[in-house]
Amino acid sequence: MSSAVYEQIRRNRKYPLMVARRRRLAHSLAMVVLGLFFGFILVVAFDPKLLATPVSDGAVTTIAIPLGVAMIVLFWLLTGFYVMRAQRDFDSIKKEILKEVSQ
Amino acid sequence: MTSARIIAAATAALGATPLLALAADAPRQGANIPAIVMFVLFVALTLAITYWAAKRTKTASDYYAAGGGITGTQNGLAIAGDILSAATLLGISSLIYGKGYDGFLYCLCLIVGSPVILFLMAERLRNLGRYTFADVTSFRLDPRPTPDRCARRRR
Repeated sequence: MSSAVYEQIRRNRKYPLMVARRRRLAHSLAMVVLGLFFGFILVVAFDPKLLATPVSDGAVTTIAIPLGVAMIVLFWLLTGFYVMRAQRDFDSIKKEILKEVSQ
Repeated sequence: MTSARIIAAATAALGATPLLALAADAPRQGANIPAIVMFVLFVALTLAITYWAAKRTKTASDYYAAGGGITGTQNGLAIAGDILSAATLLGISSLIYGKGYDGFLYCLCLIVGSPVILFLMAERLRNLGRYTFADVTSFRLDPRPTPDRCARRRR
């Protein structure tokens, strides 16, 4: 592609909107993952007794185990969500922009 | 005492160590046949896959990045295998063995990196159209073409 095409893409109305939406999605998902993870680590560091609470009376398993498993599953689902959004929404917008530019 | 004598004494002491261990431990375990069979099977399978893959490798580009022809599923399997072999086998099992379920924390730390890298890096790598991370960094940092490029831009 030549620089004239790049210039046209930059002037396309949809392009900055798509870039901003994509950045907002990626950054908010990263913030969710990092916030949950470092929140958990801070609780481990400063209040380990809280996480050592048993799931129910007399149970050996502490609430940290289901919390950790839930976080792993959530991160996995968020990965799938991001890939789905990237492939379905953003790629189709990119195709539209390229089609408008090449006309 | 000469140094030769010291070495001889040390060798004798070291040589006796297994005997001491044998004397201390109760009856010796027999050979673990299922473990040996599984080990040999895994090695044979790995060698077979390597042989099959090596036959398909023709050029330097094939050799370094599989000719740029790795599908998403193949790459996912490779990353999964990487994480499973190094981290799970060595790290998580030994941590849970040593520290109980506190070692479970390691699983969480293991998985938290990949989504963050995906969210923050994947799109940039894809936009650049390069295949490996080395390609990306050399694209940014290779000192040879950079002055040429700057000169052309000024013109």
